[in-house]
Amino acid sequence: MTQLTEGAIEALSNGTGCNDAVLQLVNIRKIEGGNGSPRYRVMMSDGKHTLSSFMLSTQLNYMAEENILAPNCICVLKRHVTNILKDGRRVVIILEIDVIEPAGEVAGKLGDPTPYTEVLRECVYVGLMGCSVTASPQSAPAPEVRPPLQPQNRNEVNRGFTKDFGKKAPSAMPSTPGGSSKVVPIASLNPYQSKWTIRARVTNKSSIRTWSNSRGDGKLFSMEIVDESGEIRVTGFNQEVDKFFSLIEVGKVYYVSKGSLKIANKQYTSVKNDYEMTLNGESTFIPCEDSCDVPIVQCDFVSISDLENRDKDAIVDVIGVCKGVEEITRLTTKTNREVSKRTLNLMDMSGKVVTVTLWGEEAEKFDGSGQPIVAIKGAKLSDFGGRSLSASFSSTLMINPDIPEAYKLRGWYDKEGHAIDGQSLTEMKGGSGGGNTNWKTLSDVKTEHLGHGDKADYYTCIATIVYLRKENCLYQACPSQDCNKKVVDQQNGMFRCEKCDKEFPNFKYRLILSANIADYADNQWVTCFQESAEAILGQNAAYLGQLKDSNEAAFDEVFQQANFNTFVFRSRVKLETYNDESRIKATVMDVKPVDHKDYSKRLIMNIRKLSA
Amino acid sequence: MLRPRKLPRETKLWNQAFPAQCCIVQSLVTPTQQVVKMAGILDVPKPRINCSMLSQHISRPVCFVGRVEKVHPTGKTFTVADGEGKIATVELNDPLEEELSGVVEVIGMVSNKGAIMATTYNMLREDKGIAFDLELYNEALKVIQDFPQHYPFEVAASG
Repeated sequence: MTQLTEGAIEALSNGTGCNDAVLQLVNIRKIEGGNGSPRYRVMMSDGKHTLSSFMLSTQLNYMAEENILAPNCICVLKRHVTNILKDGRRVVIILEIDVIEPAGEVAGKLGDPTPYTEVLRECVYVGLMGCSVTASPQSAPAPEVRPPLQPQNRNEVNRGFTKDFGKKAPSAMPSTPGGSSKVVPIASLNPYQSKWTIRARVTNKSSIRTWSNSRGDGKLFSMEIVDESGEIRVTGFNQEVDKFFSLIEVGKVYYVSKGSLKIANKQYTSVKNDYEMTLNGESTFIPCEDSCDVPIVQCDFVSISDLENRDKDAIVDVIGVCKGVEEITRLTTKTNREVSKRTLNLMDMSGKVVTVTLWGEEAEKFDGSGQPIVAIKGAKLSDFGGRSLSASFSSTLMINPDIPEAYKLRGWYDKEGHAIDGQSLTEMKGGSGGGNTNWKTLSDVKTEHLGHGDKADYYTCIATIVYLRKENCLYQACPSQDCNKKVVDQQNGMFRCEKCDKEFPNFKYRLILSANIADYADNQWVTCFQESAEAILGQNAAYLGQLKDSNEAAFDEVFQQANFNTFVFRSRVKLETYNDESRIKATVMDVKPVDHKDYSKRLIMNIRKLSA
Repeated sequence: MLRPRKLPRETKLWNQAFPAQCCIVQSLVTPTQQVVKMAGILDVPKPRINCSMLSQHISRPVCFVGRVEKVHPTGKTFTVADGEGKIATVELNDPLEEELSGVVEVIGMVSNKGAIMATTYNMLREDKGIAFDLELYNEALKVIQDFPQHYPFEVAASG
């Protein structure tokens, strides 16, 4: 039977707790906190006392979610920090914890622990008393424990406690220049605590961006800073831009304190931290000379071959040899801004190649000569052309970075990698379209009630055209480029488009083709628009329009020829209601010729699966 | 579409159960027709086989698809590799009159030694369209062999 570290709760509650205390987990509770990830509050026992003010740091949430941490399990508290809330309560943040005996193997609660809360309050009270003497004797605290109201008061309180912090600090962290607060790891930062200093390296600093909208204008810059525990994004606005932007150098290490923490908006950042920091008027950045132990960049490199298994839009760190670069191209965005774009191919030790797109300044200054090692932190994975990566403004591009992975990769490439052709993830097109093609037979579509849900369903089937309705398959559409609205014949040689609110002397023919498609078990009426109808008929809409007006026989012939051809149809089905009558509407999104090899493979696979 | 005879009951059941699946594999079996006495080899049903199935088809007409490996200088015999890379020998009555390469479909009788005594052959052209996938074809052959109840060729041929 494992022996609990008796007295550890008391020590933790008054801030003298050391690490490696053996504790029993009594209870664990999820706290839903608005946005961001949930937090877990834990009650621990040392056999003598219990304390419920333990919080699991969010990176350990998985331990709660996977039931590794469950009531009765016995754990070793490897690393923690103690925070003091505004009301003076002490919260022990668990940074690292090991379960030495899982819950299932422990009979029940060990010993007869009593809650430690009373003692804790006393302790806070004593702290307050102590500080009130030094700071503001006139504002003697009421007998009951009250949080001090003035910030300077609280400072003093905290300082009183900070001395205790020093004794139980997780490691021999260098003290800050001001000596006012202890250096804490980035991973322990949270919005509930304002008194901290971190020692971190700036790995990436954005340029100054300006905005201007109805609420005014302003400027901002952001940077990413890392220490051995993690990373965080830091943003400065307006005055802070003026104050810090020119002072802060990428690659340097700083003591940072008094930033405001808030929940990170993951949409704008790839930094692995639930919080982000905003600089305010009190924030300080003090250069740190002794910086060799602070990591340079925190990257969690994903093998290129593993990119296929990642979700679209995932943010990943990759490193690879730049096998090839394409010339820079310029394109105009929707907002009429011209951007530069450059693509390069990266290969890593998996022998797989992926295409990466760089944008803007990064694209312009990139030099791919000499096949450099390129590391990208925070690239966005896209499913464009199979799998490709895009380096956005929040990504960090590093050429020949000074990190072990880069040297390893360089060694590999020079020795053997250069001879490998490399299979690209990006050019894989067509085929079965990956695992996400929803193959169905037309009877499946009916029996599985596809389209009956709230959202439309998409499926792919192999079917044969059995009937094409040639009546009303062409309509006269607005000739403007992106408007396909049906025009009204004004009977005076002009055609009116309601959408564009204009009259035109001409129109363009567009197709809206009703087709009956069948497979072995069932058939279905589908609607095919322009491109898919053209693919089925093998003629373009303009030519068909011409035939219809000039040569009825040839027009009919096109439809005859198109019958009984087999295609791969990708369709969208949705239940639609007209005049209280609901029926399934199927629209063809895409028509492709049958890839017989692929089809046979799938059939054989299905037969094998059915017989297994 | 011509359908020479009614499908056997098993086939119908199979069609109901796995209709899409069976159509392709069925098409790999040369059309079943009733055995006509004294009919030439071209008129009788010929199971499609690979090398490993040769020994079970001695003295029977077969259809073999493989890649031409070596042509004997006499032009009267050549070797073919099946989708598993195994080699079979094809013997001809008359020397070849053309250069043989790529994938061929051979129709003939299997000799006691396991050679295919070819009656006729047909080169599959690979220059147009998609190249013939011998490995995939071999997988289909295995499906036919593994599920004879659903591909009742043998029953039809002997009955």
